[in-house]
Amino acid sequence: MIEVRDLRFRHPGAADETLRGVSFSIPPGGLVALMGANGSGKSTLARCLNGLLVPQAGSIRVDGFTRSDAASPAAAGGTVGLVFQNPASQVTSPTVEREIAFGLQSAGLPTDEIHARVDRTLREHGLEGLRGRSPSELSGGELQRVAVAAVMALAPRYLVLDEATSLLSAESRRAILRRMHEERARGVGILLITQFPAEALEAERLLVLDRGAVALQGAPAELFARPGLMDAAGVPVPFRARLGAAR
Amino acid sequence: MRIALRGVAYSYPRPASGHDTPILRDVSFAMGAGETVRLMGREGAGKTTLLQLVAGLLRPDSGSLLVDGEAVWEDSSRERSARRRVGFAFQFPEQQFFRETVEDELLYAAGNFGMDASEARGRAARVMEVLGLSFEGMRGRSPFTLSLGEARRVAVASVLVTSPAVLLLDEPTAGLDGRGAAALLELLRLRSGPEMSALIVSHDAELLAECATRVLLLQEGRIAVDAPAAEFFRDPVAVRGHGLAVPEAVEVMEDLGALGRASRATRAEARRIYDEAGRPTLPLRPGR
Repeated sequence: MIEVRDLRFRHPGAADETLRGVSFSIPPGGLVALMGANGSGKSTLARCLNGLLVPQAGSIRVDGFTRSDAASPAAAGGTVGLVFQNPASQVTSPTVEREIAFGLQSAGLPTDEIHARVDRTLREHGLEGLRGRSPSELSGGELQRVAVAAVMALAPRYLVLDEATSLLSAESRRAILRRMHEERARGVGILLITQFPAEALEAERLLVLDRGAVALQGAPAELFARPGLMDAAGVPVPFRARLGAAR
Repeated sequence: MRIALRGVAYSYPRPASGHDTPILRDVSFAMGAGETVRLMGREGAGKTTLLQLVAGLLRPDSGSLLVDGEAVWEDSSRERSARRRVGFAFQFPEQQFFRETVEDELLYAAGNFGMDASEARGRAARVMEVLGLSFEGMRGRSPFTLSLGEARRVAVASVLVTSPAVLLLDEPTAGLDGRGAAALLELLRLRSGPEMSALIVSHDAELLAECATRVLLLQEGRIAVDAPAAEFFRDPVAVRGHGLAVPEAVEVMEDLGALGRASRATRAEARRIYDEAGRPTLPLRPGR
């Protein structure tokens, strides 16, 4: 379980806090969606969860441990995998294959295991055809698929996807959603940050962040049934939900 | 400004393997002044490459680009003047930035083109405002400290400051929230003049159905479909077959049609709500 309690974060030099007391949890195998306007603090929250940013106040417990616990398992840094909003700032290796292998090598896995996982990951994500290609030759959408695959290859216990499908076709978005549900079935807890209502509707729970605070949370269909509140928080509302709410 | 591509082919060089990767094989289409065309296709189909060719950032292996009927790739002075009239907002906005402040970024191309500085500044402020950003509040910031949503809007604004005749946008709504996407749509509607044409790459099924009157589908290095947008989206089965998303309004009409209870009143109500939501109205016209 990831438990976030009263998290506060202020960027250096900024006048205001980006996160103003955020609390929520993600159970193992759970899928929580996070929506909110640009600048509401979604990406900052994602970076706090993965340990890239250290909050000034509040706590993040991952399976009972905080990052500063002396007893925290050495692998704590690898327990939460983050797929960045911008794949160009994540994918750095000379080939797709080596990009997938990079994190596995850093984690110190044996060579045989790395080969097996790279093969399996490329297959599961339909990326075999891009195996030897340089990321510089890939399209933005292909880069996003590689970025998601590389993080999933690490088999983290929790996954945070920060608008990781924004450049993808509908078909590839569906494929990534399918992979997410497969990961959940293995017990992986997922935080899905998205601007697509259809993706949020796949989650058990939806959090809406507004200026650094959780403005709304609940079952996605129930929240979308109140389009006025969602509009106020800058969240796009599906047409069907508007139609339903207007009746 | 009318542009046309004729038989354009392009391969990415792969010196390591010795054989190049063909991405565009034979691309031909024409776009008239004032037209808004949406370019679609799967990831890796060559959409960004096509925009880069039109912008003059890549040279093709073969084929030609005609601007107002004249081939430009064969004539460097013609190419220079054509290039100045094309504005290109990149898929990854930070790859477009190179100045130290947002203000310099917004005014750089305008200065290069000899535009009056105060006029350019006024235009930058207006465009930023429509996009929901404050020129005064952001002008001193480094473009590299912006969030993705901010960066994308600044990149689009910097291109619009010069009033290009042809606007090329590569996934302009990726990373934008609902308001940002609606503001961008508003900006496309306002344009800088009726003559400005736009070629837009986007997977966003909802956003562009209204303003893009025509759809090009890039498949296996060729233009597989060149059709009016309303006609293209009226066949959702085919659209999905291409791996693309169908606007939700079309899906709802599909559902209603399948249930056999799409009464005139229901359709009118659906359209009213859709309009109120600022969503595309075009595909809502019942297909049959």
